[in-house]
Amino acid sequence: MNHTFRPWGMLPWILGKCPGLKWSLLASLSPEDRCLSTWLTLKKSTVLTANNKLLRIKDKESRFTPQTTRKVEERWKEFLAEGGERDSVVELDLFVAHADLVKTLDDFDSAAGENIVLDITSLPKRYFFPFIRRLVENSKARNIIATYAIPSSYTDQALAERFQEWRPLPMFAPAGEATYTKFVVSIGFMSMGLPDQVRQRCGQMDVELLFPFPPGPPGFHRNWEFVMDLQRELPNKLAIKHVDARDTSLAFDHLVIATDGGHKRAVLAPYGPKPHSLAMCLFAIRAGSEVCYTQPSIYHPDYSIGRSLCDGQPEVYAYVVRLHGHDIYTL
Amino acid sequence: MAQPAVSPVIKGITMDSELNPFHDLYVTETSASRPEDFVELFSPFLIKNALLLFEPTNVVLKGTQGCGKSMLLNLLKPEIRLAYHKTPIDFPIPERLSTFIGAGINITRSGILDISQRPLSADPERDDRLFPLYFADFLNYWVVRDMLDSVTLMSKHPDVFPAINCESPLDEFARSVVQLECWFGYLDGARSLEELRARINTRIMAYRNYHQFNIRNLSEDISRTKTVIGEPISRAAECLAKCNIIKDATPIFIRIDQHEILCRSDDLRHDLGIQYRRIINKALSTRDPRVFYRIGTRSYAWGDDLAVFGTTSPLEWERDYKVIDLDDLLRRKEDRRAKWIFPGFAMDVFYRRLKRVYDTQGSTDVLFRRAMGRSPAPADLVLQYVGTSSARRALRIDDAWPREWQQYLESLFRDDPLEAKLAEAWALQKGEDNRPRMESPPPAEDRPWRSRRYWKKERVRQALMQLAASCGQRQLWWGEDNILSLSLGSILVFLSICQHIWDTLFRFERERPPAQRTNPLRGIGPEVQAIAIQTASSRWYHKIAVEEAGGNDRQRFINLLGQLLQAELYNDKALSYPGHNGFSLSSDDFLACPDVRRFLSDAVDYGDLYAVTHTTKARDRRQRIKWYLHPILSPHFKLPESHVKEPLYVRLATVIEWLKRAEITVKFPTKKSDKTSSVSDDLPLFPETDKR
Amino acid sequence: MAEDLPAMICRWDRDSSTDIEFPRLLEIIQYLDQRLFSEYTPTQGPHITFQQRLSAWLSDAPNDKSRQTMFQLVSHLFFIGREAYISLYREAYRSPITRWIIDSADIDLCDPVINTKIAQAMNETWFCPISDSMQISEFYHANRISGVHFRPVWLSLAKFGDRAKLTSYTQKKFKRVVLLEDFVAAGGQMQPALNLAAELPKDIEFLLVPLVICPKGADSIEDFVKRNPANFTFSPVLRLPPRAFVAETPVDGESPFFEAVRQLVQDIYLQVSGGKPPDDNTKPYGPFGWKRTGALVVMYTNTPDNTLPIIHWTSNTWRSPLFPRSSRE
Repeated sequence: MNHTFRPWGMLPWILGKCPGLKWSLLASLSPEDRCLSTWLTLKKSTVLTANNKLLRIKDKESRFTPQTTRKVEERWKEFLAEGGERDSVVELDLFVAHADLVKTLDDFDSAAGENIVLDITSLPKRYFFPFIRRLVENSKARNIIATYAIPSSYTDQALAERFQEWRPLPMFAPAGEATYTKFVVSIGFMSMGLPDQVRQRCGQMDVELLFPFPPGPPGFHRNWEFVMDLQRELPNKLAIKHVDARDTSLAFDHLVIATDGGHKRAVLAPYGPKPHSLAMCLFAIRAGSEVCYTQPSIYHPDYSIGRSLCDGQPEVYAYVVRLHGHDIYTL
Repeated sequence: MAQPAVSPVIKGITMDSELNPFHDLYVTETSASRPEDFVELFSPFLIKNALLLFEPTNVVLKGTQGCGKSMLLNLLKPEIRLAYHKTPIDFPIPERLSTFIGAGINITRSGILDISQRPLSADPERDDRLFPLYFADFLNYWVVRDMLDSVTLMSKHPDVFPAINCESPLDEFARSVVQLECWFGYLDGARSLEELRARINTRIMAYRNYHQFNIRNLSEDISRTKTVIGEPISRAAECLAKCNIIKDATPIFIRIDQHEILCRSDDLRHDLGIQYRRIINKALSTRDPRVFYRIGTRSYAWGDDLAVFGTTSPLEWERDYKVIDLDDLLRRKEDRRAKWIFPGFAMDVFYRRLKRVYDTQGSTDVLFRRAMGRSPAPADLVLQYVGTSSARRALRIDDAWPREWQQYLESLFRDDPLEAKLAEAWALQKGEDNRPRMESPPPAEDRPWRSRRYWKKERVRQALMQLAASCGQRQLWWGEDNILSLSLGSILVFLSICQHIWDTLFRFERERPPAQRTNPLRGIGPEVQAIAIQTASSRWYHKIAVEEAGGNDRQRFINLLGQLLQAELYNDKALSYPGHNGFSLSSDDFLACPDVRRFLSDAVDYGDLYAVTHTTKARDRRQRIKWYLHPILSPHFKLPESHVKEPLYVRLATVIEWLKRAEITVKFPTKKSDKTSSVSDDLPLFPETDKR
Repeated sequence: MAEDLPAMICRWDRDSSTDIEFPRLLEIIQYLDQRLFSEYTPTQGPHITFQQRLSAWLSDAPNDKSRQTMFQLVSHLFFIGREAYISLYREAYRSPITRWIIDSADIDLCDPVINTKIAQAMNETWFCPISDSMQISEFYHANRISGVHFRPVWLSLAKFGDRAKLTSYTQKKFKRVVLLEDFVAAGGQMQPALNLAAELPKDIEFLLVPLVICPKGADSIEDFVKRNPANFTFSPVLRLPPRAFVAETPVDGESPFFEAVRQLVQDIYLQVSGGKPPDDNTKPYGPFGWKRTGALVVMYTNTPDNTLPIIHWTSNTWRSPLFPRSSRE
């Protein structure tokens, strides 16, 4: 076989391959219906330990705040109705200091036990990137899985607003002085200031785009507009790589190839689906890449709607990051 | 070799029909671009107006994005100077000012803002006192490292950099730097420039590693040796002179990029951001005889806080720093007699861009004028707008009007629709209840509105706007004057318009054989330009939310304001208020509410609005400020881009109401004297205005 | 004579009553042409360009309102280019097929030589196309699968094949079979191939992998698998959601623009069809295409007849389809 299989697939399938293990979950309690998909799946499979945490991450105050608060309440009631523990929830602001991000993860990790599931579905990148880093570099857990749940649909309005300046994500600043020769962007729906940065940063860098395909429409068309708007800013032809939006492993492989096994320094821009962002995170940890982003400070309360179902179950994908002490994503 | 002073005649053209000379808008702005591209495209036009930037004084360079700030600051980099040397093009700074050393720091990219993201101790209050000191220390080390890099590069090219005396050994200079007391011994042991740089790098990396959570603590040898802001930079500069690396009078220019982030980032606590700014202010306040700071910032962001860290005295303009306001420099003045320098600048940039793609020589203004042609006169536009529409539709003739008037207008409309529109307006002015002031229209040969010299001139744009709207037509812009007006002194907007024009031309002619395609240098048709300008305008509108930090709020506000002003102008059939494509607030009102002040200032800083102070015509003669949408947004909102007469006078309460309707959170001022605490939710959007 | 496209755009753009940014749409369409549409196989070679087809296609429309709807429709088409298909081949192999192999061969995820075992199991797997529109050799090349000489089309086997020979060959050389198809609409066309597979011994496992599938096709195959649970698994790569289709009746979550398209395709059907009234059994099968699917799919190889006929049909009164279909019959 000419590729490395890194275990991923529907969460029940992965759980079935790890029989007998009990898992501690760190997830987010958000307005999105799908924020509970992983928890519901783990609960139904009776593989949850008692040490789980849901983070209620508060956006900046905005006109969406009343609606967002209402929807989070609904999710909270659902969580309790399905047997969730009241003291599982921790409230945090979106822009807490990096040290508080690390402490949150460390506190969870120390109580969690050997098997950890980090649900990145509704976690902002500002959170899940340092969480993954901390888990990979620090955690003694023997098994680590990241999960991502699919919604029924996304709002056709702006998904997020009031984004910040282009900056490295917490703990993903450049490791030292480096000349960057590669700029890799994962394509999404909203460019959020990216074209400006493409102009500013990538002048002499090769640019590669990870285009999420599948899925197809309706997101497909928004993705192509994103590409077109980027292309306008780029003096050079750009390389587009089609990568299934769910396939973290393939995205990781593309990053390895694009950077010649990590030897070429890259700036990564995770604007696409979360599984691609996860790939960038895991790659950057190994290769020392800089990961930059324009973090929004407000999310639309209908960012996503509903839960996609597969055979009657929430469609949740699981990505094994560590299995029996062995790290899966390496260079 | 000097540039030719007089331009030769335009000669033969060849072109790659798919190459848009304006494709890359930011070539001269970004450090990521190739220096050789910078050299080719940089226009020295502004240099003579910005010579202060190269003089030995602290300079704050203000302007919106794309006004040319970064372009000018890039001239301070040695790589750019080197690139010039490789070409026949003279370095554009006058020789008497071109001897300097440049170094700098980019606030965002250096990682300096990570300081405060991780506690230094178990005591948060103590940490809050320490964070600014570490900020200062990091900045010092970073800048000194950049100085060393500049000096190293320059010393390798003595023919390019006469400022550097290459015979003086750099290692000796390095040793003298090491011995400076300001380091508190941290650099001890370094014996060469290479070792010095490595030692400095170690410290910077320690900061980085600490904030990446790679190490548990910042080592004691860092915490015990924190440096005072600016001091190591100044002392290192002294060493350069003492060791004869540079002449005593050679200035060191220190660039600080993205300064405005210090008070605009959610990632940084507001109070800490203020302290960090005050640290930088302290550096400026030292008025070092050798080291001078260059701060590129947006206009309003600079004035927020001028306090100096650790003191009670603020920075003083003119004494501690001088200002170059590029927006102000490039904007057309209200007094039309004042020379407007932007057109010369724009045409020079246009010429340089074209030269890269087309084999052409020619004077800069002729090239532009020939490509874009003249802008339309009202007579050119009115028939396009009106088309085959009837007078009743175009003029929105009121059936309640006297029959004689209706016939008069219809008849006049057949000859001259614009005159008919003006006649209607003239009739309505000082009329009552929307009826004409006289029962009978004037005799056919008499057009009394023409005798009032400025009356027609001030109203013709509004008249055209109303005609276009009633006939369901978009307004059109094309030609040299329109393009310059829409740019408002922003070279970025100007280039963007040109980019769209070229793009549209290529797009429309894609299927034509090359031999049949338009030669843009011989003239681009008005239809292409009109569509391109409309597209550019919409793109700039969308860009507000997509490409500007915090832009969603401003876009909603701009959208609301644009529609309000559009309605205001359209519904004013009497053409009484042709200036109501902008609004005015008294200075007192502007200052009374910090949230409003901040919001409007941000909108100006980001180029969505622009502001001009003016004096009211009212008896109180109070100072006021008027705001207009950036002209590039005019096509999108179907507003005239030119400004005449008085804008819409509003009160603070109205602006607050607008902000609320745009779903922007505004805290009301609490003092009784502000007269704003009793704003009611059903306040009309346009209260009684001062009728001038 | 057909109006020049730029002139049309200029005229539409001047109308201030619409918020539609026609120049921006033209930019998007031309960009998609450059990136995708120019790959369309039936119009390669001596053929007019996409933009010329676009102009001609729009000119066939009876009025400006129709033209504007058709123009907007172009940016909603789901064009699957060659690169996209190659990524589907790769994804099929790496994901559903690999996972099925792991299950079928009972491979432990923790096995230190997991990749070797997967490779061995892949060698015991036969990858075949259901119909000849599936570019099976591209699938093999994209995944660098070697050592398989015969890759028969199962629809052809269903018609002409010797069941006994097929059984014997399969059981001798392979442990399992993967049947791939490039595009499945309603699923009717592939039924004979599935029936053939169901006739074979139950110890031969089958994985059905449509690369792109419409909702009706997915329902149809799911029903088939429910009837044959012992040795059949269904795992499509890209399942198109109902809201990606211009169905006869509105679907939850569909684009508001689709209502205009729905109206248009019905209003001008007689013109498109050359006067033939809508009939599920007569081409072009009604305003919404075969099985009233209402697809907006165009593959670089061809346009399926489930896609709206307005896009692909040619008649005396509809002379210039945007993506002319190359029909089997």
